[in-house]
Amino acid sequence: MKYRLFAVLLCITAITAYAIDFGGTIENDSKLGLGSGNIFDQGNRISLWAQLDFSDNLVFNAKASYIFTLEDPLIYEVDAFALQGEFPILGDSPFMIKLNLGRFPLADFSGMVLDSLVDGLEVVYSNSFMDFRLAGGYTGFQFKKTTKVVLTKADSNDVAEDDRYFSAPRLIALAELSFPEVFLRQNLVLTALVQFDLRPPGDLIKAGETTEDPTKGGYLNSQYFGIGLGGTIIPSLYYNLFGYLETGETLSYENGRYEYMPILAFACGGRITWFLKDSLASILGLEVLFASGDNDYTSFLEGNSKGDANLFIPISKTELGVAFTPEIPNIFLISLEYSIKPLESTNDPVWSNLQTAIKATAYFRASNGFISEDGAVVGADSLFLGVEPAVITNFRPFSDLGMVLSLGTFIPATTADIGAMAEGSPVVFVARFEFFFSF
Amino acid sequence: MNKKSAVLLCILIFLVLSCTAVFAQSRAVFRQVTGKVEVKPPNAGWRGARVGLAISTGTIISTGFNSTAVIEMDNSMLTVKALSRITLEELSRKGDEINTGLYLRSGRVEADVNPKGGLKHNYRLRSPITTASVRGTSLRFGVKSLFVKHGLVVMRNLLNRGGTAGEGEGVWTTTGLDMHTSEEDSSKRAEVDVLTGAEPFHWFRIGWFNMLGQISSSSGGSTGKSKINATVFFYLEW
Repeated sequence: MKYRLFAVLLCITAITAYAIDFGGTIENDSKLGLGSGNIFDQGNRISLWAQLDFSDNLVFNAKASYIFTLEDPLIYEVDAFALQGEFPILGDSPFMIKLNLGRFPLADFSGMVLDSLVDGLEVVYSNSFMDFRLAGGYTGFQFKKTTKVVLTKADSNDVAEDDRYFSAPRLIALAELSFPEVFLRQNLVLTALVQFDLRPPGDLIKAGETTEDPTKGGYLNSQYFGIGLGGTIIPSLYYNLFGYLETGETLSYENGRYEYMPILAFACGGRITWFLKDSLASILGLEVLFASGDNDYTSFLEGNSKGDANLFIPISKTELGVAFTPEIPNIFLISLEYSIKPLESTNDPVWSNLQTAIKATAYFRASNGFISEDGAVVGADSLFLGVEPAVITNFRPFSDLGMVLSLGTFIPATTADIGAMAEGSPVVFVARFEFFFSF
Repeated sequence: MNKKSAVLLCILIFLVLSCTAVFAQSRAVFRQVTGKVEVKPPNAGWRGARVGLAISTGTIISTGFNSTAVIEMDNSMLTVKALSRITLEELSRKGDEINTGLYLRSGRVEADVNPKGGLKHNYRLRSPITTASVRGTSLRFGVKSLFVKHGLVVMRNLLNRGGTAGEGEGVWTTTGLDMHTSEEDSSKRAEVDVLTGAEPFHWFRIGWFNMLGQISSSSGGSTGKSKINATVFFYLEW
């Protein structure tokens, strides 16, 4: 008995010989939609995290969340479970190797193509003028209720199926080379991303089949080659530009037969930001985003029916807007935003952080094919979808406490179905409140 | 004294005067002292600073709570903020070139560097994890960050990676291995991030050999200024 007690105490002591940090966050996201039919949606997230410091260079991070929504009160997720190392070699030619092993968030430089949890390995080499990042990860161990990786009909069907717990099994590899301040304070980044569909062939449609089944699909393997440039143009004026070329193959139904057809699509965008510090810390921003579409798609996911597939499909979903929240594929938008800190001049440490922004976004389709939201009239001559004016108030009195109130309304083009395009119900006005507290 | 000796003496005097002009020892003089400000000259003990006190290279300057010091050096003014410790590493003039080197161990300083006609001023501020090269500018410098009021400054981290900040911009690092530029005063931001943002609410460490542990809890909201520490002893009964 004594030996057992000794062994247990020895183990506890060994584990706790290292510094352990822990804490948590509470988040609330409430949405109220008003129109011909009202909606109320609420999501609450409680997260606990711990960090075990093995040394100055090696730490273990773990974070888990419980999510409550009105639709589903039982959602769990492991947000992080990774060993992180940072090994600087300082000297005449200093450099550093960073490692991330386990579950961690992986994103590309723009966040438009990939921003998802993965289980895998990330290695970053940094020296005085560049970062070289290599990463590989698997998405199939993430719970399906929280996944943003939905690229095919099979992925979408998994989400609706009760006996499936995990998200789409995909292998993602990333190689990124970035050069900070490579010339005249300009930052350059080059990226290659590859994702392989590892789904077993079971329920998938095979190439050569002739019977059309709109509920099922096939594989989708894709590659993305991106370039980004950003920096300062003149004092107080900053810009960011990015461009991606997507290649790969997707299942297509053409001439009464399923075949895998090549994907050739692209996305690009940019933002110019002008800081006017003397005018209540105001910021003027102009943003443009274009993601190619395909007008011969018969559905938003895997709907190609003629020739190459030109719909740009990112690896993870990103929703845009406040009242109108389409995903990126087949969207062209121009957005103008102006924000001020109305109490900046008071120098009050709390109230000077209050920020209010007005934003107007004009949405177009890149082609007259499908977008992620229902209701846009496919084949219509006009590509204009509508305009969304929004007012966003952001208040972060302390670093541990923050809240955002967003009010937006979507004014659709005349031929569009307002309800279907805005949140899937007859809604034209949305108020959203987000709350964040960490401890 | 014969003629030869007189010529040699003239040459010697000329050389001494030339060297004095070329390698002139610049002066650093306290122009303003508020609160508790102390200096530690090389090979000497700590003593109080006063207005008009001249200090030499190697001198450490320390400020207490609510204390500041303004030091005038060649073509520049240095304001040492409260709770700071800084060492004057270099202060020399060689021809039309002025070299100033300062090492900030803790706290924050503000520097106004104004090169006058024809003079080149190499002004270097460094901390344990960063180095900033300054020319003709006005900036606020902390151990992990800087904010530029006028001019252009390049701050380098431990990897020798440079981050450039222009007027109204800041550069900051959290560990000395990262580098971020910001369009606002990042010194406050870095401070908050370091003290509270990434800082956990609790931490504990139990000693491996002596079985002695300490539990420490920090509080203070976003400012992270106050800390409550409690020590708990763990006993092993055998």
